[in-house]
Amino acid sequence: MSGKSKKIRAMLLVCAGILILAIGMAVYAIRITLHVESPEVSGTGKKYEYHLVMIHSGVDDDFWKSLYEGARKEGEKSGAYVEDFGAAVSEDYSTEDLMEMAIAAKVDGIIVEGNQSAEMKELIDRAEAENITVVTMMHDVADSKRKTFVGINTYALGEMYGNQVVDALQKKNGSTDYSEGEPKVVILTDSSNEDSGVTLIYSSIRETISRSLNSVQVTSLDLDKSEDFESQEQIRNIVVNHNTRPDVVVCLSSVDTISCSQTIVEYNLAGEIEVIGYYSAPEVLSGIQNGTIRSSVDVDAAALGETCVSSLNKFLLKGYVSEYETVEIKMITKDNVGTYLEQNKDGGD
Amino acid sequence: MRKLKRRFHNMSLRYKLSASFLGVCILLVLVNGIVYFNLRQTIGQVDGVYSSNLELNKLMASLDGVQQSLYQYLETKSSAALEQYYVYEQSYQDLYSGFNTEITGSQGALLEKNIYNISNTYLGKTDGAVQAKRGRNVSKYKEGYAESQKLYQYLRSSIDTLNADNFQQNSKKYTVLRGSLNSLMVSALVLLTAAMTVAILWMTFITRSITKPLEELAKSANEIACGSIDVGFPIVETGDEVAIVAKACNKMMDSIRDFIARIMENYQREAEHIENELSMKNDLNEAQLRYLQSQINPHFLFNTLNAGAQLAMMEGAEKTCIFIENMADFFRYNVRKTGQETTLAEELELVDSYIYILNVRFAGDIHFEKRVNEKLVQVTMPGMILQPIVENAVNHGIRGMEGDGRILLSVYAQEGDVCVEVSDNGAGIADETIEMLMTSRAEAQQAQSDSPEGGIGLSNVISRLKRSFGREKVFTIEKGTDGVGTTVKIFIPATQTEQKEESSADDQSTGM
Repeated sequence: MSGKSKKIRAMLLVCAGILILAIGMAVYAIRITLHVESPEVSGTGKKYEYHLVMIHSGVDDDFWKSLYEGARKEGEKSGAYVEDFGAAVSEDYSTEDLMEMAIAAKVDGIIVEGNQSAEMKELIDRAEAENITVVTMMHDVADSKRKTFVGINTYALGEMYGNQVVDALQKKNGSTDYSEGEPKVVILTDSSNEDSGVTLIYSSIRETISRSLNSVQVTSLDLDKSEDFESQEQIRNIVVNHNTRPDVVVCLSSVDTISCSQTIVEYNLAGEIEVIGYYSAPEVLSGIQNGTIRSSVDVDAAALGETCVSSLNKFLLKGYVSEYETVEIKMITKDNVGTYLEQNKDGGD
Repeated sequence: MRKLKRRFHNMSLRYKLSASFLGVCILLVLVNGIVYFNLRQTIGQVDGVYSSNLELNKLMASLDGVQQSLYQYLETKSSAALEQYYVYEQSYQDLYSGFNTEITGSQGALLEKNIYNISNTYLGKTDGAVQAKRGRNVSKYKEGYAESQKLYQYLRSSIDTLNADNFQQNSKKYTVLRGSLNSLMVSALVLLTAAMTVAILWMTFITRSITKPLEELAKSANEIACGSIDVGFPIVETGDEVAIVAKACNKMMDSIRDFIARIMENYQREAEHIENELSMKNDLNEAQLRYLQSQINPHFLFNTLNAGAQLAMMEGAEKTCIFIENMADFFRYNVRKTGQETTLAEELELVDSYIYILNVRFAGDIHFEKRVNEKLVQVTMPGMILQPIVENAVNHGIRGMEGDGRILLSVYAQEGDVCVEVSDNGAGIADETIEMLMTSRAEAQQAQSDSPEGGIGLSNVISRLKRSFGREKVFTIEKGTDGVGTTVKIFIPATQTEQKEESSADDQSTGM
């Protein structure tokens, strides 16, 4: 074979290679197109047996996020998809509205944060009438036809708070020396939530304090959460005013705990006001670590979510379930905050 | 593949070129097809990217239509509003009936399921309100409307959410599609360029494979045109017409070479022939030359002899006059007939003159006798044939013998020939001499030329006779019985007579 002929053959080979490359590119483009065509751009295309919805009042709260994640993971295990119902809709609907939507959407089960409104009870009954299993969480709806309630033991929670208050006051003032008048304890509650749970916690705290200390002024501050950003302003007002400034603030939500600790840092009142918070949000943990928050009551939100879904599944499968399910609560203090921070770090990684 | 290659190799030029063009065309059409298909598909995708949003807008419009027409009907109970309600309801149902109803992890699909179910509940409520209105159940239709209004709001909100979700996804799709469209454009460009390059190279390759053997053929043809007859056409195994032409040309060149060889052979033969002829002429010339050499100026001698004869006549010496006339005749004949055709009669006359001269010279020792058939004497023959034979008979036969020397000359017909026989009773001839005379002309010639008397040799005579009559049987020499005497025979074809007669008639008619 002559050199010229060899050259031509080599060039032909190169061109054939380019041709194959170009066809490959075209095939790649077609694959992209086909990929775009598929409807599952976001989320997973996995099919589920049950459609469960979770309805709650929290928005971007860590507690609720953790709770939803726990529920979703539990659902995955048993072939049920748990939808964060409020998060999916663009408008800001009330729990009742979302409940009504869920009923209209003929879902298989509803996990709802209960409240004391008559409408909620009526909606739960309607859902049950339409064969939609309802589980209440955190706050129960008394006398409704809900299948089970998953929450925490509010009396025990109150006792925990109470013990922390006593401990804080004793350390601050030295046994029962009230030279500066009666120590003030403020419990931040949510006025929109007419839940019997809050009342129970409140009375339990009072009872626990009175058992150890006399002449302690325990009051509750109803934070108006019907309007956005109002609660933080109310907290600031009582903290800044010298007359109303409490010795101990008890927060029943993680948002309030963070707002309160921020206000104290801002007005340099650390050491003067002791904050007993709620939940193990990262900000709360760092507050405990640097001393702006004395302690925090931790509810395992993920476990709570899991329990909700497992109870609902149990009913859907077996037709019965126990009426009350409780989850464990723990106290986070400066002594054990390290463990939580590490857990968070691992979780974050 | 190899089979295909071989088939292509053996194709004719027309089919080779057609197949190549067809191949290139198919390649280009294929490439264009791929490009067109891809672009069409992607552009179609781009066109349809926001179609789901448009569908959802239609769904929203239908939903609004359902709610408004329901309100109008409940307020006015007009049949037009009711009709409109049913139209919108149908349209709305048609639009959402294709929605997903399965439980999946996709937010959009789940929203579709929720919208599907809420829509069913909603239409149930609106239908209930319409029925209640017809049945004038005021409280029920009011309640139904209130519930449907609520669900209508939920649906709007859900459709809005789905629309926003879809828009977000479609925007992502659009970005991806734009990207793939761009890469497709680039790949199309690369593809077309590559295809074009391949096509050009392929055509170059094919054209080269076709023209190269032609170029080689042309080169060989040019060399042949320049005279290199031994150059062969290259054997090209292209399997097409070029190969056929090359083979045919090679065959033609073989034929030409063969033809040229034959011509050369013929030419050589011709040259040999001419050489032969030249040597014959040379023989004749030599005979004449030898004769002339033996005669010192025969013209002068002839004229002198004529003057001598006249002188003898005037003096009354008759014998001398006859002798001199015979001598003059002898020399005249010699001068006139050497190398020319003559008749047997003239030849006989010359022999008579010669014998007369010899008898005068040798005082009548030679007894010469003639037995001639007079009918045959007009036969033509070359001149100067008989005299040398008789001269040989005298010189080698009877001269110096004891007793009378006799020479007999007979002319008779034999087997269609005229036979002239000269026999003597002399010393005879050796067998070797006969064989030498009859076979080896050169040696005989040499022997003759060495003879002290000179004259025309016998071999010269034989040679001229053969050439003149064009045959071998012209002359024989035989030994006499008991070694005494020699007989020489000359065979003249009888046809020579007629020719002579014709020519004599011609001579007479012209007064010669």
